[in-house]
Amino acid sequence: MASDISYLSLVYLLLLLVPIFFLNRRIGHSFNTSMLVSMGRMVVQLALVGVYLTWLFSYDLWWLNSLYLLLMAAVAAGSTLTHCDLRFRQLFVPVFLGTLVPPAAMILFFNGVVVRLQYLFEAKYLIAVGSMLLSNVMSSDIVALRHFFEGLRKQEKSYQYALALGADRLSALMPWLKESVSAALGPVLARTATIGLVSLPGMMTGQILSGQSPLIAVKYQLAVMVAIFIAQYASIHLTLWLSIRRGFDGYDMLKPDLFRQKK
Amino acid sequence: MEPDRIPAVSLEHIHLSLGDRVLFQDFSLRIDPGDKVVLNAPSGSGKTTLLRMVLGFARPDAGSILVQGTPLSCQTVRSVRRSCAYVSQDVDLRELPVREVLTEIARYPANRDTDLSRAAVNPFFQRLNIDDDIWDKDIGELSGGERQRLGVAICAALDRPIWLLDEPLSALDDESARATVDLLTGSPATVLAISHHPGLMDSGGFREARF
Repeated sequence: MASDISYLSLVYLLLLLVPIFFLNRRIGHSFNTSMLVSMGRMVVQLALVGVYLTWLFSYDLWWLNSLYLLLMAAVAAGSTLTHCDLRFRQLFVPVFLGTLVPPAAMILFFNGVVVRLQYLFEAKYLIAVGSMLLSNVMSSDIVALRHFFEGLRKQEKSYQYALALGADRLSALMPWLKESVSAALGPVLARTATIGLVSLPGMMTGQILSGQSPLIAVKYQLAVMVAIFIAQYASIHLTLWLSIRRGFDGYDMLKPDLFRQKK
Repeated sequence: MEPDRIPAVSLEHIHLSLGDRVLFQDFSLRIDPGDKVVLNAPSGSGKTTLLRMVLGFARPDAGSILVQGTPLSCQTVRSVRRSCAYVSQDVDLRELPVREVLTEIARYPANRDTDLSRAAVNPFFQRLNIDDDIWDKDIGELSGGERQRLGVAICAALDRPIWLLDEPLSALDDESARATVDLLTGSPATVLAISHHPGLMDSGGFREARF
């Protein structure tokens, strides 16, 4: 079991930011404010997570754990749309479903078939692994959606020309679909290929620190990496497919009110 | 003209405004099968928009568009597009080698029964003075004139009954323009073209529609 960290020790660590703050001021780096805001947010958010996860784990109710997963998926979908400058009204439902369904199916498979839990909704697994899947799915969905819609908007005439030359909506969109899937999954595969060589992944490090044998930690890490990749792959395709269904009108034209005005 | 023939393209009482600008106000145009029509109107008056409306890329505020007697709607737009071949002003093909562009077009659902092989397309390339080495060139490498002739050649190879051409001659030298005009006038297809090139009207094969 890993040694506990006292609150005072955490404060010592945070105090090391003070010289960085003054060094930044001296050099003229402009990110002191964003550094303080980011660190402050992290401290508050993680403190809150600690409180409510302790509460959630103590009850460990299937519906409460599932509700938490739903909320995380809703927040992830909202964040995806905000990052892609897309309107909630048009695309929240498709992006929410695309973000939720593949990780939810994967976590149930992971718990039931891989870890062989009796209770599939056990908070420790459902929430910890589920949030890991959701955060990775969100990152890849952001890249895929942004690439797809921005690329298409810039080259809309090429898309329309393909329609005029005999393509149906899906075959006309295929070049942008392929590009966005590659853009989203390329970095994931590159990271996967170097795992263990360049760095030890966070989950594995956490397990080793908490007293688990490195071999078991490696097995979990491997299972989680594969689960993440499959969830990302499925989510990107589902999110794009559902968004295409909502994002085009009956004439196969991209709906102009899909995009938010950039500030 | 036989009045009872179903027109190839018919625009009826079209109204369209973009912002404060009125582009079309009660505009009507009938084009019979096999007709060759060149649209003549000042720049910015909506000629390109008119072609885009026939393809369902732009929609009028009021009025109706019929293609081969079929009213354009979201139910019919795909079959309407399948009866038209289009060359846009900038020939907006994706930046790929010409060979791959043709392969991609041949895979589109509407073209499954159309032969777009090298053997089928080369005669059109020859008629339009396009060198055989174009197959290995990237679209981005082509000159404006080569792009336009490639667009027209693809249009001809698709062998559709209605051709919609947006400035197909603007970047062509006299010889290529003549070859292109010959191809257009010799085709049995209905042609609706936007062009300021004198070669089209001088050919005697086109009638002018002013608005």
